[in-house]
Amino acid sequence: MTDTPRRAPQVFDPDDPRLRTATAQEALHDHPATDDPLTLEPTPKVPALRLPTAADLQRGINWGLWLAGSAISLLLLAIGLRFWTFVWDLFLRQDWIGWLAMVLAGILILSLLMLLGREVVGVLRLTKLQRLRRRSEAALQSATDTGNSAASANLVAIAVDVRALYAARPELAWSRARLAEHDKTIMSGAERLALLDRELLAVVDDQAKSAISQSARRVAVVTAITPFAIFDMGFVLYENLRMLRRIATSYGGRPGYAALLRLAGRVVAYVVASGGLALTDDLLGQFIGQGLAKRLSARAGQGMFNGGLTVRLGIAAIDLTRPLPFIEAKRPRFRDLALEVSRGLTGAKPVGRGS
Amino acid sequence: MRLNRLSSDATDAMRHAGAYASDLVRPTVRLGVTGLARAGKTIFVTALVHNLIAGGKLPFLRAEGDGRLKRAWLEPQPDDDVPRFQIEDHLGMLMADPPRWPESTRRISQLRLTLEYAPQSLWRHVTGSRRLAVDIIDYPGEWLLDLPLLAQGFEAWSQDCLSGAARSDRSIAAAPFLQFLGGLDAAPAEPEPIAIKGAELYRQYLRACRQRDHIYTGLTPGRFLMPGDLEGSPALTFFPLPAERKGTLATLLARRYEAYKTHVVKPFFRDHFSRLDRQIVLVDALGALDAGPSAVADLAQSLESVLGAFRPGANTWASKVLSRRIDRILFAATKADHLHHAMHDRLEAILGRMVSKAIARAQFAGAKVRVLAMAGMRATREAEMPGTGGGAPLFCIMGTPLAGEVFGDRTFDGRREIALFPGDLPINPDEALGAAGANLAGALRFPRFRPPLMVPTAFVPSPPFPSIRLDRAIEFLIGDRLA
Repeated sequence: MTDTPRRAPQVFDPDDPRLRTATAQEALHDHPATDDPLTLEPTPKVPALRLPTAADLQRGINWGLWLAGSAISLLLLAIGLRFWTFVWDLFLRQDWIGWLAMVLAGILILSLLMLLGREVVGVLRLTKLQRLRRRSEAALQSATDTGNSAASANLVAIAVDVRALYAARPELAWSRARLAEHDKTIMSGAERLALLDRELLAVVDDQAKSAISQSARRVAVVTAITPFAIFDMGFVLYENLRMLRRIATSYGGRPGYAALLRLAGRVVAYVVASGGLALTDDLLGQFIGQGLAKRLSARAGQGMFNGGLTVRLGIAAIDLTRPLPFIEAKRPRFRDLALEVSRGLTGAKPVGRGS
Repeated sequence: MRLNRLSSDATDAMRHAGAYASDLVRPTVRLGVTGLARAGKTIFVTALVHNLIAGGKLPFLRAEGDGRLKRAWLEPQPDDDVPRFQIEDHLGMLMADPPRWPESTRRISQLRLTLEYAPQSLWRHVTGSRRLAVDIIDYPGEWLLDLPLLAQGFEAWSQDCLSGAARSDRSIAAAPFLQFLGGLDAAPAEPEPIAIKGAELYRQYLRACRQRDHIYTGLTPGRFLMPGDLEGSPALTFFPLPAERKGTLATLLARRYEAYKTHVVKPFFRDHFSRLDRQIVLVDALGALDAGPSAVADLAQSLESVLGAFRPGANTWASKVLSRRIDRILFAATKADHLHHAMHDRLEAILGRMVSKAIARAQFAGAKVRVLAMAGMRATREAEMPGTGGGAPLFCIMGTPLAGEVFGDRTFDGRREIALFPGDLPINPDEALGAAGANLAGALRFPRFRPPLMVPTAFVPSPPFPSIRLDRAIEFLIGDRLA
């Protein structure tokens, strides 16, 4: 880089119209990292050892989707044809009946579109979260690799995007205000992101954690008291989906059904990928350690098992929907949440960092 | 000369044991603040104390970020024989209208700041220790140059000094002193007036080296540069003499030299320096860059000789009882507000390269080391000027330069604000240190700026200073003690 011409020091008039005195955050946001010619030559990327993330779960062409799509299209075509002849019949009988049918059909189509739109928005929101996560992980990695200012600017841009995500949430007003206090302070991008992680996302983490522990406790109790296995299987499924939805919503995903199913699929794949389903030893050790297994019946033990599974899935969902990796905030630990659940079951007071 | 030889006797061991015991009852951390002249020591201490007391925004000081820091206040210092850090005077100057930079550190001074916090650890909850006393000891970095003296006799020292004075880059500064030496009477009847005159000329030579040419290496004794309270005392009335000179004068000077070691150097290292827990070394890297490549190289060299005094290492239980060690050292490039923050990484890289040997040594001994670009008080704002021809923007800073500062053919009046592009710091720190092929002469300019005007209001009678990464510095230095 020594061949770049050195720019001589200069003094400008403070009223110079070309001078921009925006706050650091805005100023950096206007310069995408790629435009910055101060960037170092790209250093050869060394793949770092890390946990599999959402990015690794991307698939190729989804043939199942094509199948379902074409089948549904055919069905819609058939229904439309039937409907048309049906309305035509009505018109032949009496005009107003035909019109009524038309109006009803209009409402039907409109609501269908709205539903569909919501689903699409839900999926888009979820992908946005995951994209942010990918971006921030890559940017943090390159910032530690090189320590250059372009990476720092990129991190600031990410911080701005993440803050926009939570700009309208009333319960985060206090955190936002605390963050805004530091807007004019000089920090590097990594510092800004760390602060955001600690001040804002940690609060969201608490929401997600309480969703997990509530669901896990409910799952554990229901499994322990229902006499029919089929019933508690259904309940576990329902409760887990509900939990995923709450977690995604608190991180800003607000998924519809399609997005929820997609998320559920990814969560399961993620848990499998990170070896989380080999939980039997870990989990049993947890409870035997507390002497619980001796005290409780087999069914209650099963309840604990299901609760533990729910906690696993919940933590995986946090990993998949959190827009930033854990920088300064603490990653929720299975052990803490599982303990909280088991305490809740045995009647002890639940303790937790979130409470 | 190792410090251990100073502090290895039984009394010292007893004293360290006593300090350890009292630390259990009353947790205390002794924080050393040092740096060469005009590195920003006074501002750093003032900003640290004031921002903690005034409740400034320090998000990266964990305890403050978590809201666990309840309050901070000043208490009477523990050592009655050390001057107090005159924080009220310094604050008064900074808060005045127009604000002025406070006077610089000329001697050792001390201040005790007590922090009350909500502890996280169960142990501290139980023992009820929720207060941490921070003893801030501010001393001139020049004094650390004296450590090698302890191992040297008068003759060896004289030889070192005189060969240094004969170097070509110091010839102008050294000329009057060398001339005086040449015309010296071998066996004067009255040695005292000659000693006084010689010491004065030698002092002038040292000061000329430092102030005009930014040279530090081998400028001993350090008290000649920063006399502290000893100005004019006999212990400071000597000068190096060629070894072939014998006689009453040589005897007198040799005795004075030994007295200087016994009464000045040893007590400082024994009573103050060896008792530090944490150390921050402030470096005015920008000032050296402003003065030119040779100043940078010399700053690096003098830092190296100053930092030879440190004996860092992890504090284990046994080492705490026997002798205390500095277990965290922070190297801070001060006046980072004279640069746009996009350049802070490079500034840190340059400083890191300057002190790389000291860092390696400290880390090998088990101490934690960090390099940080910071500013205790932020005197500028940031701005950007679009680059010519779609190039990178010029990262500027805006502020009011001090009256008399010069830029090109322009002299500032101290009232008008300017926007300054100080130049691009080199990405490769070796270039700043004068690597081959690099020509930084005139490529960087850092005129000094006036402190910002702080307006006290009825609600905020003493507003906290705007600062850069002060919180990171405090977190590194004492954050672990506030857990």
